Amino acid sequence: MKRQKRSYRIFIIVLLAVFALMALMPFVYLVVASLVEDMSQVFKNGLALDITPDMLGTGNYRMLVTEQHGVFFRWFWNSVVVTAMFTVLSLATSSMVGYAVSVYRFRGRKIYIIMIMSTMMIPVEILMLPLYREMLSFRLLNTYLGVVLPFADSSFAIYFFMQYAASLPRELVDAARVDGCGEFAIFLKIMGPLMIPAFGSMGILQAMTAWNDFLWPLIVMSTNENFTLTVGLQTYLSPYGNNYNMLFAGAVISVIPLMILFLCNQNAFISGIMAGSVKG
Amino acid sequence: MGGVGVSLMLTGRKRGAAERHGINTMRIAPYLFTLPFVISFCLFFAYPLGYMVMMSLENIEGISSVTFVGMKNYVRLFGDARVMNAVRNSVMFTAGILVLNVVLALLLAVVLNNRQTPLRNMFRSALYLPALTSIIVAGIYFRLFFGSGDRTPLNSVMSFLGFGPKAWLFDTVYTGVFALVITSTWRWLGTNLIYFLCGLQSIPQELYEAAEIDGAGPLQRLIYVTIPGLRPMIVFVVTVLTYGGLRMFGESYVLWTNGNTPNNIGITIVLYIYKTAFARYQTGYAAAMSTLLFVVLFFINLLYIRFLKIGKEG
Amino acid sequence: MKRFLVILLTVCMLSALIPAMSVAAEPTDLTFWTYVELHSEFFEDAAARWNEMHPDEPINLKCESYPTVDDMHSKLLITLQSGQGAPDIVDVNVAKFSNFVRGEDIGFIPLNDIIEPEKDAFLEAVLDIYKKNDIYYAIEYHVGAPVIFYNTEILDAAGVKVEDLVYWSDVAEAGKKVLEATGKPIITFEIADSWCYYIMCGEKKSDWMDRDGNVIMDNQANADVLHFMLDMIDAGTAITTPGGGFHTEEYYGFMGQGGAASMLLPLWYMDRFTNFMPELKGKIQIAPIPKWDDESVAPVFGGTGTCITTQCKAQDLAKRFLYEAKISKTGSGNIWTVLGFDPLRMDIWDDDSIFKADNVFTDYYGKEIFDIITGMKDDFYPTNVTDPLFPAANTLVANEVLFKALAERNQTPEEILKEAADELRSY
Repeated sequence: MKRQKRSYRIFIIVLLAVFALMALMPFVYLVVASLVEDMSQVFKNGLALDITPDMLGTGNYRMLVTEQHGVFFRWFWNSVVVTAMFTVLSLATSSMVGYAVSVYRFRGRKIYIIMIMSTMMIPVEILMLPLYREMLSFRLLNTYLGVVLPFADSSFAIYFFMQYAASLPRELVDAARVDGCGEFAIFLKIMGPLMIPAFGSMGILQAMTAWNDFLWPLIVMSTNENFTLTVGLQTYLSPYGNNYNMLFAGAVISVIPLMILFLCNQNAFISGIMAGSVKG
Repeated sequence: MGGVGVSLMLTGRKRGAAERHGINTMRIAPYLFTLPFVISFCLFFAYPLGYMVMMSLENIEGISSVTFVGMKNYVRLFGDARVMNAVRNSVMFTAGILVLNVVLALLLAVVLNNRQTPLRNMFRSALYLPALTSIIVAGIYFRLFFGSGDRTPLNSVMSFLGFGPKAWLFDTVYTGVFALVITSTWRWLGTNLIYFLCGLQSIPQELYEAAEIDGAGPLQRLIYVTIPGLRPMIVFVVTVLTYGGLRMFGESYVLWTNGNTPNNIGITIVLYIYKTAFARYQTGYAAAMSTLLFVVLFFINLLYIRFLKIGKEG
Repeated sequence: MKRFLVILLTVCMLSALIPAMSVAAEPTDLTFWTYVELHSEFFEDAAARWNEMHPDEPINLKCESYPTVDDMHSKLLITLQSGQGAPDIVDVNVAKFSNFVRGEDIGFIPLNDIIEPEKDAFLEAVLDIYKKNDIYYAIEYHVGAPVIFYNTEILDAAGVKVEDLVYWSDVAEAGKKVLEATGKPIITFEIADSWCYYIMCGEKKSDWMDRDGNVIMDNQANADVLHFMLDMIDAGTAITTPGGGFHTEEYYGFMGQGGAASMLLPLWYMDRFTNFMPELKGKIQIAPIPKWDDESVAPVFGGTGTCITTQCKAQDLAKRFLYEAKISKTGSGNIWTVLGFDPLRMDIWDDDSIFKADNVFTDYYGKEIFDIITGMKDDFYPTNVTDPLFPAANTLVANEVLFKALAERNQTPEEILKEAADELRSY
């Protein structure tokens, strides 16, 4: 029995290590490539980076700071603002909607579900022109709100909360009602806290979506200093003026905030807050 | 919103009729809860959609010449081999990511949820990291990963296995879609893993304990406890992947510069729509394709709602 | 008392200053969009010079460079269609231009009054690319003379001299020597981009559409070029370009390591070598493109035109600024000095103080680059690149025709071209 357990552990470790390696390889590559100052070395070697320490340096990172008066940091800041606005707005609204559709039986509920599901499947790319015109008439072009608003009430997040709330014990709601608790209080004080893991993971996912979104911010923002980081980085990749030096370094820096967010947040939503609270 | 809730609650209390108050708010509350969604649905979805349907009946040239052409764009659609091509690719891609992402993510989640698994926090973080990157960053790496050189990791493996190196992005539909599936799975596996881990948290530990007392082995516990308990999450992941897969466009756009996929081996429905609108400038035709895509997705949607019992539980 | 006087004096002096200050006019805001980062530098430079020379009507130029060609044009189209949000001055890619001047409502203003007076000094053929119903809507940056970049290290190893490669048949023959001596192909052909093939067809005065807009993509000349490419590929003297085109990381790596002995594109490709393949410095020789026969021409189709949109509020000022930036002698000279492009203005071509001056390009390729351009002068032949069907035709060639013909090879070039041409005719 003990030996079986040990071989299981070894098998699992090897399996996970293989997956982890595949997941991390691109990061290693990006970090190393971002430190190579002579980009032709990177092209020459492709993914098999034959790197000697003397090729490495922090020149690319310094370039990010100096180039165009450090507009990179403007982009960074814009991304932070857009991401924060989007995440907060989207969690606030979609948790309520998802919760309501899942917990209540009300007239029109089916239509709501169909509506939610159909907004989820339409690609943004298709609706660009009419959406642009709407933003124009709302005077939201070139503003943070214009980037955030159209997609903030994300049906994807609603659907997630809907599915999550479905697995919560309904008895708690009934019990609270018997105690004379109002519906909103039930949401805020009882069911909301039970959904904390969902808030945690949706928070990261929505932040990620906003942070990495490309097409819509590009359309809404019309001045370079209002670009978000993802849009700005892509300007380094134009075939007519590739600036790989800054692209790699910028890409590395662009991943770091999300990484921090994730590492800080992960314990909040995975390490079993639920396990305790559901039992109660 | 919270404020409204509290005040409703207070007025209810003052009346002192706890039961009627409960029924009353229960009737109104869901509509208040969903109000922001209804507003945003009308503004940012229904209106643009109607606009798109209108455009699909027009021939739009240059910046403002619009002529009404009726169903002409739709008729053209049925004679366009590229549409079938794109549909086939998108379906193959969706099937590919569904299999990889559901099966792998589920297994990995179960393993990582097991307290006996060593270093599970570390592995979980490692597997999730790719999800944090943007498609642009992923594109840089995977363009090189699928490059034709014989020193790329993939081609080294191919040579090791006795096959020659391949120009993955310039070969057949199969290698093209394969590249898309791998690139996309690299980015999305971690997210789906988190969904499943998140879902696993809500399965009461007692069920496992009870199953173990009944003598269920690990496999039986997986089949009889874990999978049924994860059902809402599995449904969620399957639907999200289906829609995500059928509307995929970013991966193609970055793997082949600006989405110029050779002989359409990597073209997807939305990429074709995008290229039609913004590289060929046939906006009306693009709108017709979008409208049709919407109709098809809508039916898939209804099927899913019905057969996966979305919104019904227990 | 003394202090009072001082104050009075100061006040007088200050009040005298106020009218003086208001004479210095408020700068006018002009926005400029481009998809080429370097072009913003060029225009910022021009704006600085403008402000020095015209202190009475200064401009405040805001340059926005956009990520990709497609993204910028998508956005330009949306803003022009919506009637708001478009820039004052904008770079339009030549292959996308036609879509913006279709129909009755055109998004750009005529530039005839700044172009026509200077027309004689210019290579008119390239100016005319952006002419519709006798109205000029854009002014090009460069001729875009088609050239071939040889890796002399590889050619030397095979004992091939650049001067001997006059005709394509010479290149095919020399390819065999190169292959034997070094095992490398003499040239690579694109399969995911169209320009290399377009130039080779253009040499035969062929095109995708003729001047009247008829689709001629499936003519024999275009098929012959594909057959020529296939023959070279079969002989091992040519391969399809790694990465599919000349603007990919994979290709830069391949070429930088001496993967092939030559590549073919307009002169503006120069800066890819200097930026991404610095190790080839001194080993790259630029030469006129090989000819098919003595009838061959050097097709030119510009690359990027600068337009002023109808949404611009200071159109007159924008026009005069554009004149100084790109049409005047100084402006044209800067197209070479700042950008390394071959300017359209021919009356400065013999000015050695411009074209022989030290810069990164003369440093990399030697001082004689521009002599090649001057030598090709009489062969320049404009193509019909602004035909309304061109965006669709070009996408077809880049995405399908070349890959089917050179990589898949299930159909003959004639069949493939016929299919593509029929599709274009059906639009």
